[in-house]
Amino acid sequence: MEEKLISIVAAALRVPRSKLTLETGPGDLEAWDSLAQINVASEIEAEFGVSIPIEQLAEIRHIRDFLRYFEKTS
Amino acid sequence: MPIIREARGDDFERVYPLLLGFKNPHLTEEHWRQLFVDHSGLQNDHFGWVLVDGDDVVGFVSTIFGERTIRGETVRLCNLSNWIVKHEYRTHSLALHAKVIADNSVSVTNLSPTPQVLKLIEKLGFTVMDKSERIILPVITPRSFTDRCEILTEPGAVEGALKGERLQFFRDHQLPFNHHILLRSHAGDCYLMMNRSYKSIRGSLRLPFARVHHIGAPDIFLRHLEKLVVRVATSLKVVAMIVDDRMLQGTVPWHSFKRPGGERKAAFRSKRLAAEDIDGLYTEAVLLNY
Repeated sequence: MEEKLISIVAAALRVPRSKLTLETGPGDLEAWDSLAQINVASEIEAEFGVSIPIEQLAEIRHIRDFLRYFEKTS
Repeated sequence: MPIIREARGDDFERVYPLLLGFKNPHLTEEHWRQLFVDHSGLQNDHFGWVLVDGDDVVGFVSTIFGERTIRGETVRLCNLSNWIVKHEYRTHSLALHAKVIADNSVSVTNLSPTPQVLKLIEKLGFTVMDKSERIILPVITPRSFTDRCEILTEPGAVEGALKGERLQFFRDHQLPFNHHILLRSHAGDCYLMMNRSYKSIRGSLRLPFARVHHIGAPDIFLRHLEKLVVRVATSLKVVAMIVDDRMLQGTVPWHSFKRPGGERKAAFRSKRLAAEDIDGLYTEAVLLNY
């Protein structure tokens, strides 16, 4: 799941997969702005069949936080 | 770690340096201060949200509240505007916005989104609406003399003739550039609220326009438009009137043309409102003199 998640984020941000780790977050990439955050969330929601409220999305600081969200809500 | 809290009235001095980041040469400190003044009595010392890191305000979003009766129902409105975050804190940008839209019982509007913000809020469930504007010219025709409607422009006379919610609108919009007109006809009255606002024409040439922000009775407005525009032009000393196309109910006045400057869009999120219900009252447009 981790690999899949990173791949989805890379595709949404249009950056090479090799640039990302689970610790990568909006603060690390210029391309990852608020709109990109929404796009990333949309792709993750579609792929994993989940819904991420904006309040939760706003707290995402690293790709790993998406995993933590899945664990909390599953 | 930065925190987000409500922006209070006494936060203005700390937020103002951020607002200068919009680089709008036509807005003075006194303009910006109006975002922190409770014009409606509904703000409850809450003028938006600030992102604070230690003693520094590093992000802000403005919220202006209003309450309107629309189709018999009381609707609480929140105009979201002037969303700005220092670059190094941009990861917290969405959190500011999330605070504004957390309350689902409020209808939220954003009348001046940048293209980027528009894309973002559309993805957050906002409805995009057209905000094309029309410039209506004062043209004297025989109808200007035969039209029997009465047009009140003197504030005391307008106030004395208003009641209920319209009187509240009048009292809540009392900045020097806010103007109120009451058109009285045999078919009924039409209350109008507008700003006298300078707009760029070409290069550095700026001319005064009457920017209409509220039309109480669109059908009456349209019926007497020719006489009205001439009267507004002479009373307010403006070259023309600017009105949102969606306020004209599909009518294209013969003495008007689309305002140049490309596509204009706005957005709103509401369970109750349609685009036609949204105007400029209780928004940044009337406070900052847009």
